[in-house]
Amino acid sequence: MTSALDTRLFWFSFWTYLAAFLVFSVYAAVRKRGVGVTATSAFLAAFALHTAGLAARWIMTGHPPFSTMYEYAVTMSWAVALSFIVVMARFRRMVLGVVVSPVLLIVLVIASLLPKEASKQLMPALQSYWFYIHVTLAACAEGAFIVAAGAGIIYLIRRGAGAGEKDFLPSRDLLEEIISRSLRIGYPLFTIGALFAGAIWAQYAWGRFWSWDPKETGSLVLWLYYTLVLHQNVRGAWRGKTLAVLSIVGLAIAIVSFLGNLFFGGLHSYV
Amino acid sequence: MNEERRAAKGNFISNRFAVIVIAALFGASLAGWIATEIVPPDFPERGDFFREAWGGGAVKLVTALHLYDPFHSFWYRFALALFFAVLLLCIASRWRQLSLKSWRVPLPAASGDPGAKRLSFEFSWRLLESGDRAHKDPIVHFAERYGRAESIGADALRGYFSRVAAIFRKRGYRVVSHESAEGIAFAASAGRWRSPGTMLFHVGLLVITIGGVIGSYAGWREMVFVKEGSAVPFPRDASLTLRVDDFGIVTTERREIRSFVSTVSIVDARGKAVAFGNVEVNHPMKVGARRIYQSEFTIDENEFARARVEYSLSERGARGSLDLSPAEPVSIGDSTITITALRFIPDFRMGPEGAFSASSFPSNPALEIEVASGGEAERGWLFLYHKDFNKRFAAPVDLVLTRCEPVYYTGLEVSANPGAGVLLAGFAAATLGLLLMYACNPRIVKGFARPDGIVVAAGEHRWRTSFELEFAGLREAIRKEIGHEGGRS
Repeated sequence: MTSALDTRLFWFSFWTYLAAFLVFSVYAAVRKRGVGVTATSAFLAAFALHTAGLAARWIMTGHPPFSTMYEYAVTMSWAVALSFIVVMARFRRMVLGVVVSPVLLIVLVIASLLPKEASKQLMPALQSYWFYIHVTLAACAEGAFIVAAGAGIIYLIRRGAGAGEKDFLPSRDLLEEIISRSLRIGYPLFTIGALFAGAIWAQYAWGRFWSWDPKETGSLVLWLYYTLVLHQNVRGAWRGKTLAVLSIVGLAIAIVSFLGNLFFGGLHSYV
Repeated sequence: MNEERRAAKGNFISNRFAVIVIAALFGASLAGWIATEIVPPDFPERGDFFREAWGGGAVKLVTALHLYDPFHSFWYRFALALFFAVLLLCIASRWRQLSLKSWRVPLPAASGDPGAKRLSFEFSWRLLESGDRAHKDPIVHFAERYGRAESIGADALRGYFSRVAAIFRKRGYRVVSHESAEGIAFAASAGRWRSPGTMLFHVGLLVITIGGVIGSYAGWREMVFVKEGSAVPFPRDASLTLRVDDFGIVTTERREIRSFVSTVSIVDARGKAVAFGNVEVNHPMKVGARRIYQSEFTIDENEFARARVEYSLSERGARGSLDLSPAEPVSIGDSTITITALRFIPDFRMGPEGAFSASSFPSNPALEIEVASGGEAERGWLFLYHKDFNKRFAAPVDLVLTRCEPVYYTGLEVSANPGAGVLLAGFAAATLGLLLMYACNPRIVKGFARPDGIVVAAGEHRWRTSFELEFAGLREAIRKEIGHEGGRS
């Protein structure tokens, strides 16, 4: 099963993303529009392969690809790629690919290390429509947090860049807007999907809304963190560099929370 | 004294204190998260072991801070209580501001002064109409150039204003205006539902916290393990009995688990079933305010419901099958050979201390039997899924296990949570609030339509780049609408 079409497409998309990243790096160095267009085209091709891989997995298993850590990581990285394409289409700044593509590659490397076996049969606890709501929204939210962190990294690079580089990189205002918008997309999705939908589903499946399971606690920590950041940002504080740094720290917490069940066990131990 | 109280209350509901409280809860949750990974929940029972491993001081600290169950510790409860109190007081004292902030948009005070704004533009009606360099020439320039103000009549002004207002409305803005002798002052606002959304979200969080507290203190849950066909007293209700009529594991052809199903009846003191139905994972059964959940199952190693063995007597060539019951010898055909089923293991593994079951799931069912013939008895294992590993007995008979059904004990969790409805209401309110908060992007544009032209201005916006684009779009749309490209009204 592991050498099936979906896995082959995953690897094709991985190598194409890697190629896109390399060309984006060249673009950052030479700043020729043609190179940027080539990098963007490679990224779009990788995204098409990525989408095809997910579709193949869905068709093979008969259920959306969210039931294992591998499937979740691949879906989350797909959400990151989609967010990047939307941002790029709106603001026409190909240079964001220099940061977003390696972040995406890191998520895909993590996915590649996870067991890829596909199962047609969802385990009983996962046979609920809440599963699709919970996981889809959580994956999209974490995708948005990754985009925010990517823009945060560029923001910090821009601060330390020379005059020539500053013209090439997106403006601080634009980067702050991307961070802020990404967090404002991610936060409600995370709150509704990961926490509320998860709690309601837990009530149906396990008879309790909250179990203080490591994954649940990790989600609560992440939610409180972004609550704090947005509470301040909405009021005009914690902007600029502070927001950029906080978006990167948020991603670090999200990664620990995401990978937590690999080490901590608990009710969410779906490898 | 009153001043001091007011100041204390002001500090308690200040934004700064709210941030401190959220940060404290974040820190407490993070500390609890880390503590649960370091300190096992059975720490109090293994005090001696940890005293030796970690030292007395560390054990005292863990015990004092309740780090083996941090989320029920006094310090975590304190952080939660503080969060609740600040949230409650903020809502109670600021509900008007939280709800209505984006609904109240004051009109500009005087003509030509929509406020000191970062973004602004102004057009002369006449110049717009003519279309001649309209985008370059503001009213002042026009007046200076031609030495006179090119004013229009009151009816024409209303006509122009209604077209400008339509442009705003088309883009999702709500327009309020006030006409005076000087002209028409207007304010266009979009994303006004954000403030009620903020309020709803905060109320939702408060309600969720209340629901959680009710559930924690008034809710209960109990686990019962019931053998299929037997009954146990219904937890916390002596007048009822919980009977499990059947339990089954539904699997696919590849032996993947599809579902666990318990068929349950709730029987009253007179023996009458007051409720019955199937309980599955994700599909609990409701009995009044209580719910029954399919939680787990277990198998007793030494019990099985039915076992069937096929035999082949090598000397006579006779074949047949036998049904076995635990510890009851059964003769094979008309021979002197007898078989006795001794022990059942659902998930057979062999360890240094002999056979054991790796799990409660019948992944590798095995039956230990004793074959007796001519005064000699021999023991061995028969495997349901791995027949090649079956024991070859000295007695002239080949045996194959063809069926072995274990006795299941279904694990049902019976619970009641009086806070469930409150929690669900909180989730609904907070979800709606969040959608309003983050789907609505509040923007305010103010302006003044005078007889000689129009002034439009907007202040700072959180997303400067996008708002500048939108504002430029509004300017262009007004120019086109009033100018010759938009036609005459």
